[in-house]
Amino acid sequence: MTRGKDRSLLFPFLLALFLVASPVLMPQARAGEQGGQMTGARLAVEQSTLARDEKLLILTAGDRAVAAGVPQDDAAIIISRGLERGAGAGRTAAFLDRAARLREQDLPVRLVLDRIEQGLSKGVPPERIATVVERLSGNLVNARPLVQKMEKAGPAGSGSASEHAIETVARALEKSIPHDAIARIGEQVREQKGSIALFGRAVDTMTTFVGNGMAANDASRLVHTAMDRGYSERDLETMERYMVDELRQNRPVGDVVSGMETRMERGGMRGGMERQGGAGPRGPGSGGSGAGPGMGGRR
Amino acid sequence: MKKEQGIIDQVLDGGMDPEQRLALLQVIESDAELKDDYDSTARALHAVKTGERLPASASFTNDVMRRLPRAKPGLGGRIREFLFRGRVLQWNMATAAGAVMIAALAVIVALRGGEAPDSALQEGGGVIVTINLYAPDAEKVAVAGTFNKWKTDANVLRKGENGYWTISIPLQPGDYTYMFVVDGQAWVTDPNAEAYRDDGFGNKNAVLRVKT
Repeated sequence: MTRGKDRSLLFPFLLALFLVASPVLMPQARAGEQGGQMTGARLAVEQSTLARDEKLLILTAGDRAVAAGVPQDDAAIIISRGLERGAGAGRTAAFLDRAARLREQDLPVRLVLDRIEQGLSKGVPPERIATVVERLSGNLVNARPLVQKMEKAGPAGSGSASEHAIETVARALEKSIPHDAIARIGEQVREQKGSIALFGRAVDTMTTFVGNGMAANDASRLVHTAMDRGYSERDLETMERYMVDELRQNRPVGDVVSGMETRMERGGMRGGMERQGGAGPRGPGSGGSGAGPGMGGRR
Repeated sequence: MKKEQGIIDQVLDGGMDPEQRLALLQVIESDAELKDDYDSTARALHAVKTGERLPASASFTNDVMRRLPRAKPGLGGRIREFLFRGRVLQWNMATAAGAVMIAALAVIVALRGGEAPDSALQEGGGVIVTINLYAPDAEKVAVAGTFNKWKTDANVLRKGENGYWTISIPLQPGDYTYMFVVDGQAWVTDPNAEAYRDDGFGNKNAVLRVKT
């Protein structure tokens, strides 16, 4: 370039090229990396000691899952981890097929993928993972009408919020929380013109209570009371933390339930003001000591 | 004038016998104007013969042609000309370095942006969360969870004083579940989590709620 005019145009031209190309390049790079992960998984399959038809079974299932909308990196992880953990070709392919079928039914797949990846990582026997995943898939199918019914009658959420709500309800069903208890939360949220996120949090709180040893009817009563009183998502989280803190101090679950009811009667359990016990507030990245000797925690 | 110039050219060109050359030089000497022309032409010829011959740049012809006057094109024409006109590029180091830096930046940004699109750890712009575990006898502690797809070697904690293991992880707002992996084998629930959730396999995952 010999002339100043040309040179003055060169940098804007290159900059414009860069700005235009970046948004195009980045997804391609991501896709390339994901594709790379899948390529790595393919390589692992090819180099494995599996029989040829078993290799074909896994690779075909992986392709089908990806074609159905399962993220490539999840498919790659399931394949690689399945091989590492000796899950077997049939079982690994079945995991991928399960995920693919959910996507084909337009159901959220993250919860099932997470359960498969988690189970394989933790060394859970593949048969057990398969049982859990099948039951969870059924719960996802059953959860969708509950969420759709609530959305038709009241708060509509974004696609991701709806999917999250379906997964939350599926986890509640997994803990044997009755449909009616969940449906009632939906009605309460609708009456209060609440969001689908509030619905999800309330169902999640109920599930957490049951998961920590509370009877389903007690959990339902507490959460329904909270919803009647207009508790927010943050208030519901406060209730969960209260239970965790009480259990950490070895209080019986029955005492936790009565203590929570008493505090709610007094207008408490709101906005984190009721937190008691050994562990102090530990907001993410809040610093400070989150754990005493002999205990872990977040700081 | 044409005739006299012809005489000068004949003398300077050479290729004639000495007598003829002498006769022509006498003619030139006898005419002052002709002699001036002869001297200036001879000096010019000498300068050309003895002077340093500078090599023309590769873009010499292009430069000369571009300096010739022509009709000014419109904006579209100028853009078209900028994009498609043949040109000879003469790079200097600053220009080349700038272009290389822009290209390198583009590659770096593209690759960084592409890193692990489904891992919350790499998406950037999140909240830094510090997780710790008191495990004085452990040789290695990692944290595995929904944020790293339960990879047991992706986020290894650093051993600090007093037996505490610590790691800081950037996470996007949202709910996560996790467990510690001690010495690559034992899965340990964070005893100080703010909430717990069944993992579906008989254990409890710690819940981490990241807010903006």
